[in-house]
Order: sequence, then structure tokens, then C-alpha cells
Amino acid sequence: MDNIGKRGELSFLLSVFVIATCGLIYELIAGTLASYLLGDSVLQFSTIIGCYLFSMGIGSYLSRFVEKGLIDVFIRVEILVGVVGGVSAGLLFLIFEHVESFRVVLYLFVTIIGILVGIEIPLLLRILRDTFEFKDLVSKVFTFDYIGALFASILFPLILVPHLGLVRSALLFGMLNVGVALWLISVLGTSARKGHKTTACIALVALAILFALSPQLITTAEATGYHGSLIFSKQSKYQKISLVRSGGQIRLFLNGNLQFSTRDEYRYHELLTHPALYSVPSRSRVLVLGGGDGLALREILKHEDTREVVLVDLDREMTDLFRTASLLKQVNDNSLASTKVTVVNEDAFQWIKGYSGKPFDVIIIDFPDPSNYSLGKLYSLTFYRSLKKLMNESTVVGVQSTSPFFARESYWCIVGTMRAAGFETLPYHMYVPSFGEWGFVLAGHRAPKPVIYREQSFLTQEVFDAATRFPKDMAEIDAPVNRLDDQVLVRLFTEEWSHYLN
Amino acid sequence: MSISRRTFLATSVCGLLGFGALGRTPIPGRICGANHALAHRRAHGGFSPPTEHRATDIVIVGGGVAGLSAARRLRDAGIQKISLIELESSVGGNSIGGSNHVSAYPWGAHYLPLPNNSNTALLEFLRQVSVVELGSKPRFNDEYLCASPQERLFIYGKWQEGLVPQRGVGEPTRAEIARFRRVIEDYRQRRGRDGRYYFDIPIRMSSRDPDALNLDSITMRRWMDENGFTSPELRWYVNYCCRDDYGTSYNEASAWAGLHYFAARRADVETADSNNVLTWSEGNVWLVSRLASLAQPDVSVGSLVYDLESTRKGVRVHCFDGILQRSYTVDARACILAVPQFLRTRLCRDDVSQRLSYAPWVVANVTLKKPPTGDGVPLSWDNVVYNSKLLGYVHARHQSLSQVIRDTVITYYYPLSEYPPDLARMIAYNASLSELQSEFVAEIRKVHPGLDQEIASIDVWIWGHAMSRPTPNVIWRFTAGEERLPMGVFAAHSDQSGISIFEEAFYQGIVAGESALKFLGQRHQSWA
Repeated sequence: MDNIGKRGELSFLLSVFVIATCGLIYELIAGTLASYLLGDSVLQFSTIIGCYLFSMGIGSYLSRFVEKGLIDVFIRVEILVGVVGGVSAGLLFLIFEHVESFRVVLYLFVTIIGILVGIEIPLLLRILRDTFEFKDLVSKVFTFDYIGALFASILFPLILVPHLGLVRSALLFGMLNVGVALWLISVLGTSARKGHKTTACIALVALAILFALSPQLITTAEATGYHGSLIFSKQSKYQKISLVRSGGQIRLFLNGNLQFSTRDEYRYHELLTHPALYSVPSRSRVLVLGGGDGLALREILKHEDTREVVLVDLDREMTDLFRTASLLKQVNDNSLASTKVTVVNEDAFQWIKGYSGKPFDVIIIDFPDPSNYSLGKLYSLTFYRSLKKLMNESTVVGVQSTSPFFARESYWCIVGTMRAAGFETLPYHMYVPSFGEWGFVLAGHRAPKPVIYREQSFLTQEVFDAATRFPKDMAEIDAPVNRLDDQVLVRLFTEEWSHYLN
Repeated sequence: MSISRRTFLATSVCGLLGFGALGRTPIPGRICGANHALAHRRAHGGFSPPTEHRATDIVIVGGGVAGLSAARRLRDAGIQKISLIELESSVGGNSIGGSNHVSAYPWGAHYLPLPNNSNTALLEFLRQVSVVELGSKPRFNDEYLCASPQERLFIYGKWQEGLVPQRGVGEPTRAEIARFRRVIEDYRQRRGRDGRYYFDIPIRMSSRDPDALNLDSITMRRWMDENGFTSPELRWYVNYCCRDDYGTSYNEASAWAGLHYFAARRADVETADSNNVLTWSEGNVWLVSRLASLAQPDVSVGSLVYDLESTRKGVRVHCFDGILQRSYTVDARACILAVPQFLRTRLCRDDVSQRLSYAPWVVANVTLKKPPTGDGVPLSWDNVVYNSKLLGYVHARHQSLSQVIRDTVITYYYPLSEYPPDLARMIAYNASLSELQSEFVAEIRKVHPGLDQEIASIDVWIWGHAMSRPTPNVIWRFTAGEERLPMGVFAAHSDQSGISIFEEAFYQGIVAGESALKFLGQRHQSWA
């Protein structure tokens, strides 16, 4: 039997408190992560807690197989919990965009941590069995256990998430776990094996380094700017990609600008794609410029006669994210992985200039708004003229063209520029709750006349007919042509939107 | 003598320019420039007897814009054999450029203002190379028109749009600038008693009205004084323009030249802003390479012409091949001498009464790991700093259609116009690479704090004789006179116009080409 001495007793009881706190923190982190990344917080928290408690049960059962060297095993488990729990949040964030089944990995982590924590208390009871009377022992251990739980549940939402974020909180408590192990080793002196001390020290240093290096993936400051929880944020080579969950919806921001909300993006993407697709006799070859989120693609692939789609988006990290992350694959129906789709990660203007292949039947253009001179080039006379070599006689182009309400002159400048490039146009607009009134343009060598012969969730022939009528406050006004050498659109756009943003 | 000279140089270089130690690890780069080792051999003579005798129809000495324009004119008239002898390793003259893994960039002239509608010869060339479609009004290809945003000025801590100071400028100055614009507009439209515009391009098309020509006898600064233009911001701007176009401050440039810069352009074009310019990453190399491919001359580069003489059959040119280190002669029926005046007078032993002076320039191409930004107007094509002795920088990748630009090249222009040309030349030639680089690093630090850490390299080109200086009485009293040239030799250079711009060199090439055609008795329709 291990001999722990008087000082050891107190140490063990205090370690119960820490263990309990840490255990609950890991559980809360896993639950929060799951609801951030997967949504539906009631379901996520409930299943995570269930899985965690069940795993603790498994751990308690497994503890019976520990026959000898209880203290050694306890210290070993303690270090292991610290390491696994400590890195859990960071690892889960990192793999979110790479792993096909995020859920499986998440529950695997919860299970491992649960089992390890589950082993600890029974072992402790057995270690302290000879020191206290049974009633005292049970009373003391569980008192500390439940105080720890209370402490964790208050600490987590009030201090840890706002100030440290999930990744650092996990690492901090990982360090505490390992610290308890180290403390026990030093208090018990020779009764613990020497090797543990080295292991614990290495683990502690490693966690501390990670803590210092880990970016604050989630901070309240950032999250409140988006009115929701920031569940993913990455600076790609070209832009900052942020995913935010609030309530049941997920929103994508690029450089802080809202791209879509899962609540109503179907309205936007149906309006962007189907009118063009229903304007042409054949839609076998479709080109998408921009739209790396695969949402326009999802709508296009609903047309069974579409055999080939080329999607040109500058940002490989964007298209990779929306092709691999399970959450986002649900949103775009896995459209980026379709065998019909070829993704080209190139600069759209340069790609068009170098293109010498067959023309496309439909071209969908979903660029960010013309808020700077670089983006403004993608709305220029030269750009629209360069589209002609990608088109045949009946090709129709559908373009997102900012809001005719918030930026009325900008909208009609885009329409006018397409006309100056020699196209017949059909301007239309519709209310998209996340964006407000939004504008689009169809363009072709002949005037496009879409017939929406299959109803979508939102778009019907009646809806489209209404969309082509502009009320007086958005009606056509004279606007200059946007030229590379005189980018009036960027000035108009900046000026008009500033009235609404400031 | 030699000691005092050395001491003087040391003071000039370190003291006057303020070239300081860079205080960091050396920046990669090199000094480039004209092949003056070979050019200076002419003075020493001692060329070995020619080992080769070539024959051609017309020989052109000098492959700058004027020489190539002459070659194109002659080729169009059906001249079969055109030989062009060029001192440097490539043709282009002032219109040369370079490139690295990031971008092409200019080493000299880098843009062409939209030509006046009356300049049909130039418009026709631009049409041939698909820069313009000629309808009722010229319509320029958008890709070559300088893209938005064109110009910005760093003044009082922020970048403003355009180069005419506006930020932090008081009402009296605004009124003065408005009056200046009205005066300029008046000059733009004003015609002399001979019915010609006061200011036109080519310069020879301008009015000979004494009221106009009198402007050539005073400096631009004196003209400003006499007309009550006293605001420092306006004077800075006018001085900037004189330095930019002529490498000469407004204290020295003639008022006629200074006003010509503002009032000679009257392009009336379809859609584009008539004040815009045509530009390319590599600068006017783009135009030069198209001139060369239309003219298809038989080019010998790295060759020095050290003598020429009239013969019974025409002209004999004595050349020295600097690469093979041997002499050869070229016999031709006529010769176009497309070199600056100081070389022409030496070759023709023609002692002109008044020699042109030449402005030296330093041009630096700075390769950056990220593009410059700044508070206010975003990175533009031309980026100028108020009250700087440098003329600012041009962004080489400005015309790019790419969405994202990271590594890039900016080209700094520095006419050493604050010194007399000879001193300026000496200072520039005696400065080390790091001393020259430090000028540009200091300028970058001043307006783009932190960007100096993103410098990948700075290459510097020293132009000893970049352009002739249009000081008073150069353009009209001097260049208008006939040069004494040997029989069968015709001069073609912007020096004959007195200002160094593409349009003048292009025009002088055509004029010389047609003179040679006339000399040969070849019938042709005049373009000029």
C-alpha cells in the first residue's frame, strides 16, 4: 500500500478540487465548440454532456483494473488529462476545415477526456481509503468535487470565454492539471516515480509555449463586432475569412463584409443564378466568376442539363474551406466536390484574358462590391467587353450589382457600363433580408427573357416579373460609364454607401 | 589641383547631397547607366584600321526614338537596306527599361500624353500598333490609358488626389490657382498673328508671333513674378512640372518651355479624359519596340561611330565595335545622325555658336515585398511628395489587371536640378551605390514609415546627359537655326526641338527621313 502521509492528504483533496474544475471546463469547452461549429446548441450541449458523463462511467469501470501503483497511475492520468484537455480546443479548431467528419473527432476527444477524468476519482478514493474513515472520505472528496464544478461553471462564461477565449482556456486548465501532478510528485517525494517529474515538466513547458503562441481565435471583442460567435477566422493570402454563428444562422464575412447568411442566402443565390440559367436554350457549360463559397454553384447544379461548370475564384483557401469543412458542405450541398465542377484559383480578369477554350452558355458573376480600385476593374467597360470571347450568340450573363436602393447611381452605373460594352440588359432587384434591397443584371447579345419554368424556394415567374419593375426611389437614373482610366464607380459606391454606414 | 578637386568632390558628395550611412545591412542593387567607357573612347582616338567594309542604302547613327522613327519613315518609303548603329546594348535611347521576377519597369521615359488631333503622323503610328482607333475622334485602347487613380500628392501628412496642391491650401492660393488655370486655358487656345497656336506639338508648328517668342527670353520664374503668381504651393507645382519635363528648375527653364508644358495639349478624344496619358509597365520601351519592329532596321549594338565623311557615292561612317574591339566602315547613300547635339557637333566638327546644356538624372527602381499604401488617396500611378527634391515615384504594376499585388516595383525619378548640370553630373557619378540608395530609402521612410523594411533591392541608373535643358533663348533663337552638316547627312533628334519629349523625337525622325528621301530623289508623300 502506498504511504502518503499527512501533507499528502491535503494535497490530494485540493487536487480533487482542481481535477473537478478542469474536468468540467473541458466539458464546457467541448459543448461550446460544438454549438459554435455545428449549431443547435441544445442538441450539442446535451449530447456532449451525455457522452462525457458516460465516458466518465467507462473510466470509473476501468479503474478497477488498476491493481498496483495507484499513485503512479493517478499522476500519469493527471498529466494525460492535462495534455489532451489542454490541446483539445485548439486542435478541434485547426482540424475543423480539414476533416471530413468533424463530429467524429469531437466526440472522440470528449470520450477520451471523459474516460481519463472518470478514472481519477475512484483511484483517489482508493488512495485515500486508509487515511480517512469511509464516510469522511466520501463526504470530503465529493464536497471538493462539487465545489470545483460550481467554480468552473461560474468561471467559464464570466472570465474565461470573454478574456481568454476557448483555445487559451483549455491550455490554461491543461497546465493546471499537469501542475497538480507536479505538486503531488513533490509532496509525495520518493513515493512517486522519478520519470513522472520529467514527463510532467515537459508537458507543462509545451502547454505554456502553446499558450503563449496561440492566437486568440475567439475573443468577445471580435465576436461582438459580428453580433454572434466567431466560429472560424483565417487570414488567407487574399482576405480575412470569418464565419459567425448567431442563433440558428451562420454568416460568412470576407474582410468584415457580410457575404451571406444561411437564413436567407437562398433568396440571393436563386436570384443570382436561375434568371440567367432560364434565359438560354441550353445551359450545358456554365462559368462562375467569384462565388468560392459554392452557393451559386449549388443552385446551378440543380439544372440537370448542366454538364460542366468552371468556377474561377482567386482564393484557394476559400474554395478549399467550402469543399472540406463538413458544416459548410451542408450549406452548399457539397457542390464544390461535384465531378461536374472544375475549380480554378486564379485572378478572374487575367484568367479571361488568357482563355482560349469553348464559350459558355451562362456566366454568373458574383464579385465583391466595387469598394476599391482593384475590385472596380471587375466592373469596368474593358472587363465586360472581355467577356464577349467567352460567349456565344445566346449566352446570358448574370451579375450581382450592389444595391439599387443604398447605392442607386452605382447600380445604374453598372447597368450602363454593361450596355456601353454592347450588351442588351435586364436589370432586376429583390429584398434579401440580410442585405436589404439588392440588385442584379442580366446581359446578353439579345435582350434576355427568362422563363422560370420550375419554381424555386423563392423564385417564381411572378416574383421575377415583379423584380424587373423598379419603384420610383430606385428607378433608372443617368450614370456615367465605369472605365479603367476613370473609375467613377468606386467613387460613387464609396460615397453612396457612406451615407448608410456612418 | 587634383587634391582640391578630390576634396571638393568629397564635400559635394557627402555634404551637399547629405548622403548618409544607411545604418543597416546593404540593400541589394547595382548602378547602371550609359556606356560612357566606350563613348569616351572617341576623345582618345587611336582606333585600329577598319577590318570590314559594309554597304547599305541608309545608315542611321543612334537608335533612340528619333533614329527609329526615321528608320520607320524610310522603310515605309521602300528603302531596302537600313543600317542602324547604336552605342548601347539595346535601342531605345531614353526610352529603355528593365525587368525582374516581379515586374517590368522603366529606366527613363515612361508615358506619352494623348497626342493632339493635329498630330496625324503620331496618331497614325499609334493606330498601326493598336493603341488607338481613328474615327471622327480618336478612341484610345483602355488598357494603355493610365488607369484610375492616376496621381496623388503627399502634402501636410496625407495623400490628396491630383498634383495641384489642394489640401491645407488657403483661399488666396485657391484663387491664384484658379487664375493660373484661366491664364493657361487662354494660352492653350491663343493663336498668333500667323494663325498658328502659340504653343503646339511638334514645336515647329507653333506661332512665330513675337509676342509668343518673347516668352522664350525670360525664365518661368520671372514670368510667375511678372504675373503675380506668388503662392508657394502654386510655385512649387510649376517648378515641379519644369523639373519633371525638362530636368530644369523654373529658375532656369524658359517661360515659353514652361508654358508649353501646360498649354500645348489640346487632344479632343472619344470617352477618355483628354489630359490622360498612355503608359505601360515597361514605360516607352513598349512604343520603341513597336517602332523597331515596324522599321526592321539592321541594328548593330555596342558600336561607337567615331567619324563620318562625305564621299562621292554618299557618306562613309567609321565605327568601332566595342564588343569585338575592331573597327569597320559603313558606306551609305545617306546618313541620319540621330544623336544629341554634343555628339553631332563632335562628329561633324561643327562648332556651333551655342552649345546645349544637358540635365543629368538619377532613376531608381525599388523592388518592394509589399506595395506602398498611405493615408488618403490609395496608391496611384504617379505618387509625388510636396517639397521633395525627388519627383516622386511611378508604380510599375499600376496597369495590372490583377486583384492582388504584393511584390512590386516603384520607379523614382530624380533630376539633380538643384545643382548646375556639371556639378550634378560629378556628384552622381562619384556617389557609391549605397549613397545613392540612401536618398531613396530616406524618401520612402519619410512618407511610408516601415516600408523601408520591405525593400528587396534598389537599382540605380545614372543618366549623365538625360535631356537638353530649355533655358531661355534655346528653343527659338538657337535650335531654329540651320546646322552645317556634311552633304548627305541629316540630323534627327529632339535636341533640334529643344525639349526632350517623345513627340518631338518622333517628329524629327520623320523630318530627317523625308529630307534623306528628297536627297536620294525618292518620291514620297510628306507625313510631317
